[in-house]
Amino acid sequence: MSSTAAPPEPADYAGDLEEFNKTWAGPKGFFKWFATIDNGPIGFGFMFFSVVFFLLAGLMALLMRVQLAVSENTFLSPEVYNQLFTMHGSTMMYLFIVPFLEGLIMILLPPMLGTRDMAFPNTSSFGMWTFLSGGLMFYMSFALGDVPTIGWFAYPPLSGPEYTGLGTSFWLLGLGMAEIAGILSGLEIVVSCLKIRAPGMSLARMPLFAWTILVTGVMIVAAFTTLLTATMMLELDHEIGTQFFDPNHGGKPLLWQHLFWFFGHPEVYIMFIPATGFISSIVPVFAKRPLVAHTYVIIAIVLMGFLSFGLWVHHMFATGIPWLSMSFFTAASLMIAIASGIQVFAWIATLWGTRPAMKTPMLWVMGFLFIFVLGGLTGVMVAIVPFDWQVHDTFFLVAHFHYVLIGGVLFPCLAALYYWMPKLNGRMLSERMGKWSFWTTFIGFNVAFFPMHMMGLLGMPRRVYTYPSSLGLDGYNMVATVGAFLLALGFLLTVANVIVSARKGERAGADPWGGDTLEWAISSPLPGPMFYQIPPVYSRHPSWETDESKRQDERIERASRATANKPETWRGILMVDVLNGLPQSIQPLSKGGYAPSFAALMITVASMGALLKLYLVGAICILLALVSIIVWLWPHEAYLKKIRESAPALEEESGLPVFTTGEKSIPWWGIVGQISTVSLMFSVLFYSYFYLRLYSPTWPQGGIPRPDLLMPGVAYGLLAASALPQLWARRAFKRGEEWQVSGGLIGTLLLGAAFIWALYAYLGGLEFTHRTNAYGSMFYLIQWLMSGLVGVGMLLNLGLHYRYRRVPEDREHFMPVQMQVTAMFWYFLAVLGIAVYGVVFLSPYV
Amino acid sequence: MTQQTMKRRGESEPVQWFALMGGAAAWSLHLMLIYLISEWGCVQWPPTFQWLGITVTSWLLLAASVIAFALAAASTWVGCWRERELQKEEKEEDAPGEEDHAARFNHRLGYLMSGLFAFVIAFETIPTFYFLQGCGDR
Repeated sequence: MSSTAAPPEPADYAGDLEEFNKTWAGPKGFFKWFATIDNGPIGFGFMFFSVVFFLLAGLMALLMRVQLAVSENTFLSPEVYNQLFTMHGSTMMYLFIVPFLEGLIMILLPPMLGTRDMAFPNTSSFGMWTFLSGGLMFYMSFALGDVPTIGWFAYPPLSGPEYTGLGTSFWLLGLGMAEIAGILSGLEIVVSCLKIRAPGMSLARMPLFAWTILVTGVMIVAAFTTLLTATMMLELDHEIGTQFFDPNHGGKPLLWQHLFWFFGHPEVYIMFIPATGFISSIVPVFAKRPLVAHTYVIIAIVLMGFLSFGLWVHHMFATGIPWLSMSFFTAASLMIAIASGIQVFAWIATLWGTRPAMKTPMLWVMGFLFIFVLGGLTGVMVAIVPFDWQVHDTFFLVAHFHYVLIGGVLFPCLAALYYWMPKLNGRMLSERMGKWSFWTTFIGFNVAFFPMHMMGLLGMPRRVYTYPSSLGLDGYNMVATVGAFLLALGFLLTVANVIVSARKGERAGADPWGGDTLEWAISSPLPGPMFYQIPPVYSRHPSWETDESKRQDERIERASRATANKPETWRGILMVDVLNGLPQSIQPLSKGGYAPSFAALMITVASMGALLKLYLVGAICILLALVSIIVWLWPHEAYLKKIRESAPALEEESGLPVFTTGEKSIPWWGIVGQISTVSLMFSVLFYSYFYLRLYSPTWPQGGIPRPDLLMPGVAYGLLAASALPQLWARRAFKRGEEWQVSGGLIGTLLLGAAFIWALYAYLGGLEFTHRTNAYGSMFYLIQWLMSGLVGVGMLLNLGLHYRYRRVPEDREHFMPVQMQVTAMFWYFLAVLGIAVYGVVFLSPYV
Repeated sequence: MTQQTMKRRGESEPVQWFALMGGAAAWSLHLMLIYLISEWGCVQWPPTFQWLGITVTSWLLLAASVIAFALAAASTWVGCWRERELQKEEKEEDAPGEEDHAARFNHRLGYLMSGLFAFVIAFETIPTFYFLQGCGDR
């Protein structure tokens, strides 16, 4: 099977190969791990650390199973048992599956899309280090001797400041860090899937795996932003005395449940949808034919992504929500079975009548099909309110979600590991060990979790450290414990397989399985510069369908040709039209450095300093983090010079612009991502504001008078007006009117400063604080965030103005897009300010 | 395929985006509205707050459902219509351009997806008919 995408020998290219390789070569030595921004090492970092966390969480699960093996056991105390189920659940949900998937995605997505790296490589590095820091902060609670006992869901008031200590604060902050890493990865994944595909790779030709990743990326951004906002509120309750979730001061614990499950339910699909992408990639290769119902599978993926956000209330059926509301969520929960069903039938139909080679990846796929269908069916059962009430908080649910998460997610992850390992280290995993691992895991899993269905139906509650022997559950529990150890052995066999095969495994060629997607067209392991030439794509299966003579397009061919070993002196990628995959521009990527990892480290230390009341340390670290973020974002003049020098020839050769604005440029997508995230965050805050109001007998609470309209009106008027000089500056920039540009940028800066001054002058005169009640907490939080955002906007303007005056040679090159994205941010701030004024100041009068 | 021909056929990006995402947007809008209306209506308005024997909450829910269903149905129709038109025009040409190839897929995907979302909206509206006189026990 030959490949349409295999790059010809590098020596054939016009570009200087040595120079090109030098440009793409990553840093060397031990410190390369801190400086690298390449997708390979970053993805490896995500996977490695997540597996370490997985092993820790697995160990905790075994300890819990030992405790439950017999009734009235005293192996663990109730306190330790609670700590273990909290850390087991939260590690698996926050620190293992999603980061593991993110790592695998970072490694596989660029070659599959026919590009050279992810869209925001610096962000990848920052995300990986933030994730690791978050994970370590999670586990700091062990060192502090104050491990949380709040479950992975952390329901207040149990997780509030009244009942928890420093360990929970570390847990929450660690969670926040992991969420930031998740959001950044989500944004990067979305932009990479939409914009940096190979030329010709329209949505119709995008691999199914990339479709699943695209949907997952959007879900991560929406769900994690919600959780980030909620954890920020809970952390503020802990640290500075806000009252968001304290019912004694107007707060609502149920608000947390709404926000948490708006994240929590999609989270399951965030893990499951990429897993379906693995299955949809592996099944056709082993069946040796394209996936049946390709279009319908895409529909199922998108449908699942959306519907997963409509199911959150089904975790709250026992909280007293009106029947009418619950019925909607029952309906949505039933509907999602359609999406799952479409995919399961498509996989079965693809395999039907074929004789797939039962290699290890395929075994994991078959195991997935069996287990996931069972887990899915019990999911439909708990969507029905009366049944849900019956099994609520019993082991039936433990069985259900482990069938979904281990069978539905971990099995496909292991299939993917066996399938793509040649691309990770150039070697095959041992088939023999793989089969042993599969059968041990499969049998162990079913022995461990199937009895839990019966235990749940017989009334065994979950999250309780023991049970009386009179319940008659000893037999089931002992079987489950034996199964758990068997399951652990199965996983350890795969870990051993990876370690042994990394040294002694059979060397793999470029395409050991006969794969259909572009990553199989390049060598194993994946090389440093992923593609010497970005390949043209005319098929959904570019490595299978080689006859491209029928549909060659000159624009696609020209763009592809122009990238042969080029650009030589800077890292360049092609951007394409979202809908039709036609080439649009060539964009430079950053060249890397220590700033992202250093920023992540400083933010971590600053957070820890704040929690431990070491305020000076915290302040210094925040300052250092700010400096490193500025260094990270600040253009490297020598690198820009190289781009400026070689861009005209490249533009002529490819027919594509390098210096461009709008959706053809990467910074534009960056700012759109940030604006979307902040908008989501404020939507969550507005929702919380009205939710609290709905359940408060009076609003504002506690006799606080309705807010003054005049002074805040002036402040937010100034903010709205600040967009005008920015608009003026942008227009003047296009006309080349130097002083007007300066005037506009400084005008915006001054209006932003005036907004902050007016706002804080008003806040200073108020008679209530963020501690007074939930209304006060919400009121102040929104104002603090607004002023923080305006501060960010002012920093952007300062930097832009400095570069405009000091680097005039860049005015025709990168400055137009910098001017555009800064202006977009200010327009957004103006609109957001109007919304905040409407919600916080005007709505109490309605 | 030149830009001019594209315009003649009306394969503008907004039309493709509407066909692709109209149904999903309609469902999102529907979910948001039915949740907010039921949460707000069931807490704030007594069941006696009725018109023609049906609670105001239910009227609002039905209105939201009709609007969302119409939006999803419109998206389905646009995708279906454009896909058929492109199919007809493709038959008259030897080799359709890259834009046409992509647009046909986007429209096909769009109308199938929007149709399914329209069905989901209709399905999620059924509970409203069971609670025309109130929100049920709490």
